[in-house]
Amino acid sequence: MDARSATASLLLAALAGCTATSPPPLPPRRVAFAQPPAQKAPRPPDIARSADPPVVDERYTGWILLADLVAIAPLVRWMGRPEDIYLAAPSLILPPVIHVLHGQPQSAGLSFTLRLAMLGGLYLAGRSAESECDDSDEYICVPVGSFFIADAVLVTAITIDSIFLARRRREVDGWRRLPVLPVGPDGRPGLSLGGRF
Amino acid sequence: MRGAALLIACVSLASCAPEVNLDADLRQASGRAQHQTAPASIPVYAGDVEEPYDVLGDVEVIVRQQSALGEEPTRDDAVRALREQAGRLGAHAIVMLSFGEPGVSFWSYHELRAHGRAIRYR
Repeated sequence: MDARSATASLLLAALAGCTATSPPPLPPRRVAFAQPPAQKAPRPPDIARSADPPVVDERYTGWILLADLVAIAPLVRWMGRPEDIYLAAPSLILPPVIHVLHGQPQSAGLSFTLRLAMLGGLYLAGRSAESECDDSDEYICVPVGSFFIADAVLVTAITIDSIFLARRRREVDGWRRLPVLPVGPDGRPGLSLGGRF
Repeated sequence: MRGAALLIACVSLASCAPEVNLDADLRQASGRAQHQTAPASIPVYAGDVEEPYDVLGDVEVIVRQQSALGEEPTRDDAVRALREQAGRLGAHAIVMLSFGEPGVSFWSYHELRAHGRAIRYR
């Protein structure tokens, strides 16, 4: 089984485990109404605030994971050559840049702090691996403990960044282009002019 | 390192309450209201209503349980979130409310989806 089919199988297995479903789609907008009922339906009171656009919550997890995918190879090399700081730069800079591009400067700041902490952890793990191997008399040294620490640090940072920080709430496009519904002073419909630009 | 620890603690605590994800679709919208309405008093109907109305938009919510220790989301949570979104739009009612099947999702231990149409009477 090659890497691509293994990834596809894993993805399919993950999706097959999802049991939550969406409700059925809503029908098209109704335009014709029968004779309105004699008794009006209850209406909630208007409050003295202008209507706001609806909001939508979005995730951009994929972009953060892509950035980490690009940055991970140089990062692993940096662990063995800590003096070449440029090797760690993609991992430190790319994810915060993605947050900024999605209009989330606060998440970018948190991401940058998280990445700095991650680099600190990886640096310590790298040094720990070095000393572990310096003390070892074996021909091939595998610093298992340090690898586990490095792995835990890396996975924790990427998980927090991609799942908890990589999301935003934004206005739905097009709301401001909709015509304002006419309402007279007594609540009755009036005339208005609307347009789309 | 301390900042990261604080972040992890905040995230862990925040994940105890159900997480609400909002969505909206304006393809069926015929206009927008001038004022917001009080969300708590917006009536919600499973079917359509006979009184003529304008559509403000189709609103959808996804309520998620964030951790194994978190609260399982209920239909009330979903309806509350729908009302808040509809109130922001200035809706008089939500019609054609429907729920998806609750269950496990890619993002959560337990997830419930609901949507409806925010309307304003003419």
